[in-house]
Amino acid sequence: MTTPPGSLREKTDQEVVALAKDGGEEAYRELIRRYERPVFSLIFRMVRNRELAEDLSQETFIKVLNAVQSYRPEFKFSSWVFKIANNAAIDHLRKRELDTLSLEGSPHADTPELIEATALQISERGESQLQEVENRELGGTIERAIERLRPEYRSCILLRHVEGRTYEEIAEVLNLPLGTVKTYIHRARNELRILLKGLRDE
Amino acid sequence: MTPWPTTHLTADDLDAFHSEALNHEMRLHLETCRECQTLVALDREVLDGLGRLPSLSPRDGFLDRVMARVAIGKPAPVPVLSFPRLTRGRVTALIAAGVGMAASVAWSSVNRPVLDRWLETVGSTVWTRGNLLWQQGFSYLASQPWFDTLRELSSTPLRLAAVSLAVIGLYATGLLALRRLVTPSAGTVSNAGA
Repeated sequence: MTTPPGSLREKTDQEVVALAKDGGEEAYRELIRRYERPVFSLIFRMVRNRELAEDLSQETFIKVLNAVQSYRPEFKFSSWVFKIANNAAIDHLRKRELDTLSLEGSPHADTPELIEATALQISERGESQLQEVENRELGGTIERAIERLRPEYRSCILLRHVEGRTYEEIAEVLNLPLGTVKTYIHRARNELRILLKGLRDE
Repeated sequence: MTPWPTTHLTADDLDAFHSEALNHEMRLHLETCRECQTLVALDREVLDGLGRLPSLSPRDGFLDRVMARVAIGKPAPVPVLSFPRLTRGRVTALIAAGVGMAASVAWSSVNRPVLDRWLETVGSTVWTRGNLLWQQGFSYLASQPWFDTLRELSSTPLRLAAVSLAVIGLYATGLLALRRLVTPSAGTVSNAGA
């Protein structure tokens, strides 16, 4: 079954998913087109590695699209996609114990050499896109400040203030009570204010 | 004179400020409090910075790489009940059960009078014991202090109908509550485990 790509752009997520369920290849492509940038941005800002972010984004879409037949339309499609993407990033961070990546090195590094090594690992990854972003003064400072947040705070703040999701949707995505989401976002903003001020003063 | 206690802007006040919904009292406070002015300015800067972060995109060909690994239109696998595989042990057990049943039928048809006698003895014992148990149970119920009330409630057909309806309602509510309790939590996004 083929649907012209142009007509798909005007359809809602639910409508496109319904077409995908009917086996429409173009509908699958449209879903990827809609979410590839938000999903990749979120994962990249969580794991700070382009290759890895691509792999995890790819895994996210494969999971979502291979399970599209079992998708229940009473739930928001975007919540589902972001949930799988966030889980992929968090799982990776847990596995690699990079849960509090910092420009100053891993918190698990207990010698100056290790601290330097882990710090270099992060800054030497040559993320051209990240460097490009960091060249912009405020954007760069914010990107660096986000890196220092706890992963839970990072997910919340990125979903709320970068992806523009509502508190309720973030609660759905992260499986957290609404109050916790609000607290995390406020704490994250508080930390970002402190970090921003600190980075400015450096 | 005791100075009025200073209440600085809370996190909710900050949100209210950004959505232009800060209340009058806090607005007045903000006009004079240098600390809160700095806080608001920094918070605005953070939000501006976050809002201006660019949307990043994966390398070219991402879509095709994903599509190469997606099974289009393939329905979700449905678990199918299948007949258990016949192993040697299972076949032996089946044969043994079949032989046992056949032997039982054969013996029953040959020894019909013996079987009838046994059944009669067992039947009469069960009947007598059952009857006795029933009588004991009923007399126990009748001796309860609430029995008269219960009998009163079912004294007319109308009352009996009302009581029955109430009991059915209670039972249905219990069933619903139990169903909610035993249903595994799906979270708010049921598909997320995919």
